[in-house]
Amino acid sequence: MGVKTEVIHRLFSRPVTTKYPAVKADLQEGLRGKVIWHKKDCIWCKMCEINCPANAIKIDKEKRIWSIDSGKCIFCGRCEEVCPTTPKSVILTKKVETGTLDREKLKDVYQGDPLPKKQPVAEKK
Amino acid sequence: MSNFCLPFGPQHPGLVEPIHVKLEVEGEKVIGYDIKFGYSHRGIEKSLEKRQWIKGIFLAERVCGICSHCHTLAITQGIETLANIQPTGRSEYIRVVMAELERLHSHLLTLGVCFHEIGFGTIFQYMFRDREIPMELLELISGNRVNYGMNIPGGVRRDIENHKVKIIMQKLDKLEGRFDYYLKLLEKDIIVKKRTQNVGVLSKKDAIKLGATGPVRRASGISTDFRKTGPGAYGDLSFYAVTENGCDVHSRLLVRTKECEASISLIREALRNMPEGDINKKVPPIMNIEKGRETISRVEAQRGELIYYLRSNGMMPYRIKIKTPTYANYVPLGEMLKGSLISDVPITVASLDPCVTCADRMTVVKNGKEKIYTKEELKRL
Amino acid sequence: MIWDIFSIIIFPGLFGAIIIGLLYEGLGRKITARMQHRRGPPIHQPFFDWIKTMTKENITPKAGNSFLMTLCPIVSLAAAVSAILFVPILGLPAIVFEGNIFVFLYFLLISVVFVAVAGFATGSPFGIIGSSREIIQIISYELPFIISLITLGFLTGFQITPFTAVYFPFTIFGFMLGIMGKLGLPPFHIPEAEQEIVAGPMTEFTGPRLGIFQLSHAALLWVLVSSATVMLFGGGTIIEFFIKSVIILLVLMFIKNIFSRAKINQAFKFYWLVVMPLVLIDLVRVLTGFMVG
Repeated sequence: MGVKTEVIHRLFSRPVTTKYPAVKADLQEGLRGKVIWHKKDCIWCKMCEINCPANAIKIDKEKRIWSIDSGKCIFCGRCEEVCPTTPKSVILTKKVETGTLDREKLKDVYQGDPLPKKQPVAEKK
Repeated sequence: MSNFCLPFGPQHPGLVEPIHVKLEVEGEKVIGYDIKFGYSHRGIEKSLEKRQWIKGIFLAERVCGICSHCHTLAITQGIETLANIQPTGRSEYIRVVMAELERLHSHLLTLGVCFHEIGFGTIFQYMFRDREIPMELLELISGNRVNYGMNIPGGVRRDIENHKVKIIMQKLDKLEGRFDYYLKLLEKDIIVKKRTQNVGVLSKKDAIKLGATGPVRRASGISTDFRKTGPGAYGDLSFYAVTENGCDVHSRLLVRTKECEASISLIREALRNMPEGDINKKVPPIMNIEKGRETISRVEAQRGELIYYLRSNGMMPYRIKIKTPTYANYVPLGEMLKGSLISDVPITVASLDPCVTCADRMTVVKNGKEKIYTKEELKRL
Repeated sequence: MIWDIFSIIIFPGLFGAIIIGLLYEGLGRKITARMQHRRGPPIHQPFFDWIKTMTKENITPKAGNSFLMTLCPIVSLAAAVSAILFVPILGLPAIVFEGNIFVFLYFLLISVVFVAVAGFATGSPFGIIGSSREIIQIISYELPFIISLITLGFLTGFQITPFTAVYFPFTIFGFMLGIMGKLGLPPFHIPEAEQEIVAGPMTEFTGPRLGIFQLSHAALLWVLVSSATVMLFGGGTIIEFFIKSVIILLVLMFIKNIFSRAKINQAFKFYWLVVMPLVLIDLVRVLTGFMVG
């Protein structure tokens, strides 16, 4: 089938392109998208902050703030790989449509649970 | 007829990336040329000296978008040699699969751009449609269409499970038929042959003298391919280098099309013979390598031979030097442009597949002699 | 009288030429896209492109001649629109007299030559090379085109009337190749070779000047396709006329998509060594009365 016949054949067949964004995009499994954090399992070991190649994760242990700048993130997945908890606290979702008009909105700041208080010493009787 | 200067300049609809080729023309004939580059210099070699080893792998990947896997492969092999780590058997096969898939998508892009340069828009669109198949497979395996981040010292980061192997085999069957179609087009179409034969000629002697590399060298009749020496898992697979004797643009296009067919059979063989086992070894996230060790790492990228020189300074590298294949192919480009017509300039530049972003290095020339400056001398400049 | 004014300004004159010409261009892009297995822009896209171009700024390069750069697009559009007034379409009044086939030819030539003049007037190297290629291309296709028109002239008394030329295939061949050369359709899209010389003669044109050039290109498309329908295939009622025009457009787009670009010396050789002898055969046939129906 040469070019001449292919051109006629394609004129009468359905186009191969899709009408994105009216039609949803076809994403494969295991796609690396936006990073989110679950506060329930985190043990505050700071391995994700140490290993991030782009220095996008910032952790403040006293104020229990975990923040990520999606503008700097390169979606490599190292934070998920080195996180020691099971299930992992840092995971990469499949969300890819994250554009905004304001650069500040790209930063995600999560507030974790406060430090567990020390048990009060039993009152002296 | 008077001479004037025609800039085939940094911004041009016929170029994919910015490079400045100043042509001196008389009528339609080119009588002089001057090549300047450096428009995409980002200072990556300097940034690599400030990062730890594994973080540096992710930065080195972003030297180029199309040949990103080759850069990570080269720097990972270098780190493995410096730290005396041997990658696992299964990961070597996965690295071969990724490298050959990347070769497929890159060659399809080059061929599409070459056909666009000679004015054949239809084949350009068909090739980019066919290129979607390797891109989807790469996304399936690694999670991203470019900049895969698969290599780490000791192995790879993700595995190819059995259900993924079945999907890959099905889609490769669909792709194989397309290459017969493109080969027939290259060998039979009259206008394509008239535009590409005897254009941009680089004879065998000149190719050896000026140091051409990659498909440009193999199209001049010299069979040089680093994969023949059997690095990684290539030693166990039946690999053969594709050579043509035409020395012109037509031969280069033929070499690339036939290499794509060879890649498909290599991927199938690697997937069938992949051994079971771990995909990587436990390596500390912050690696500490003995100071003063140095090594050279070679990889056959899609455009030729890619070399990395690494020297260690403890937790970070002391110096990493990158030599990309496009950098070596700039000198033969001058030889090919001599005596050609203006209509032949875009197809000549496109046929040597310039990945200009890869090739922006800095060399300081003083008093007519070249010299590479070390870190201290640069600080003093 | 009222029909005369209608014919000059509304259809097939100024507004009709521009609107239907832009629609033909949009249809051509849609057909090309479908042949390339993709969707393509909507048919009314060239209108939006034209509106966008007209709102941009007029810039004259230092080495350019501002008066000529404003004059050339206007003359090109005026000549293209004037040419259609000599072709009787759908029974509307046209300027018909014996020998009007040559005046038609003359106006078409003016329209195309002023594109080349515009390229020289800009003073940029891309413009100069594009214009010299345009002139070489005019020299190549113009003579076979003229000869096929002369053959048609002998058959119709040198006056443009609806005529069916199916028994003279070489004349149709010469006429269609003339159309492809004038409009710059592949494989002869050489003067505006995007990959080699940015945009050829049109490189330094921006704003309203480029907008008028786009209109003149659209008007030329309308003129050539409808004159081919009338002179070669005998345009009939409204529906027949437009169906034949769309079929001619389909054939032109098909040839556009299966070829790459020829070099200027190859195009010259092709026209003079392949097309010329064939149209001369038909001319000799008509002159000697051999096998004329």
